[in-house]
Amino acid sequence: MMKFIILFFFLLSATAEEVRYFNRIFGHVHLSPHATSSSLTTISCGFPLRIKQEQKTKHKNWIRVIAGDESGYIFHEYLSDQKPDCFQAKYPHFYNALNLDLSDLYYWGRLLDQVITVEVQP
Amino acid sequence: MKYVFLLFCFFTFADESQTQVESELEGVNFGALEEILEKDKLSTHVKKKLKAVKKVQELREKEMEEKKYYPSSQDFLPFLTQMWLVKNAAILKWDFEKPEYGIAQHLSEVLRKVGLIKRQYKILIINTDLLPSFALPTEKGSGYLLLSLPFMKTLDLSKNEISLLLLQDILRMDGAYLEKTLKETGLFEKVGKKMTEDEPNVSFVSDLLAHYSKNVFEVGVNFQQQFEVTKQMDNLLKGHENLRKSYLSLLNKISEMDTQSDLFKNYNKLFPTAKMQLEWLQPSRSKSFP
Repeated sequence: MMKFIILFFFLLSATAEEVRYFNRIFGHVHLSPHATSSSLTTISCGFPLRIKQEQKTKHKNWIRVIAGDESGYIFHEYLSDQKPDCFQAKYPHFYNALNLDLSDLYYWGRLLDQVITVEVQP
Repeated sequence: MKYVFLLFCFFTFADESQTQVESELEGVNFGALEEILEKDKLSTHVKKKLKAVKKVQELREKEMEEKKYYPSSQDFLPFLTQMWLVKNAAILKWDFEKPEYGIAQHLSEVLRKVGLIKRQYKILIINTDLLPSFALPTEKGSGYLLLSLPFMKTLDLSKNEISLLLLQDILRMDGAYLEKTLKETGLFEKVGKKMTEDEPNVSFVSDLLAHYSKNVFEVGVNFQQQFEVTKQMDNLLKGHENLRKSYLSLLNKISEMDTQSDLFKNYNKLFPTAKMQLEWLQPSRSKSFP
């Protein structure tokens, strides 16, 4: 009986999913867990991404996510538990009037991939 | 496929604009159903639902009205800088595969050594000789640090020299030279203000992007600003003999490049000569701007 209970909870945790939100203006879901890998899809701020519990810690700093039909990787810092305060949602009239095209959105996401962050803490 | 998904992404915003009740009630002609509804005693229920929908619509309109603002200054500058980088991706050539140069770690150590803490910068390596390096403002204590790969290679810069080149750019950014110039155009007038027009007029953004380009690619830094930055560098590097030597070595390399190479001919257009900086760093010339 105990074995079944353990198996039940194991299966439950293996199939459990959580939702996190993309927290930058634009970004990419990558084919592999590194910034230079191909983009599977471009996503915008606030986009919900599904994460399978058992895949959370497989790749250092990269999380396997499901975005619609695509399953790929995203850097952990770009995900939030709560829906973020997005520029697009904060200033919808201004943002829509800019009429950004698909190439802009693609490069905006690439910019996030190409920068090297320097932090200077005390 | 990715663009189809991206479009889906756009439509999720549209989907959020209707509640389930609104969607259910959309297209239903209650007038034609009045008799049936009365008969089934459902009219009260319908009225309640319609009242609830009206309230939601009013709240949404109010919410949208509250969002009829141009971005605040705090939100706008980071957005503008990113937009400028995106629109100039082809010119700056930053989207290319490169190895990890270990610059971030080294710069972080140098900044800590000279006492510039609680900061966060984003280094962006550019594969062009149009610019040697340049710092672009975002929020306070942060920004984008552009760094040319051909410049690093041509001058065979060490990690110390690269970090000091970037530190010099950070000081220029701290002096808000670019930011002030952009604000002086008067094009920041709408920033943070309520929209008075039905359709927002965003032409000022294109004008600002043009000014941004002009300042980064043509105007650069003037003598007074460069003098201030050089003196700040001199002060910061006091007590860090190793870093000071590297700074002098960097300026010597740039000065040699000026005379011996056609590469980075823009350098002297954007920044006063390194030779002049070397003169300013002489003890006898350290008091004030000549």
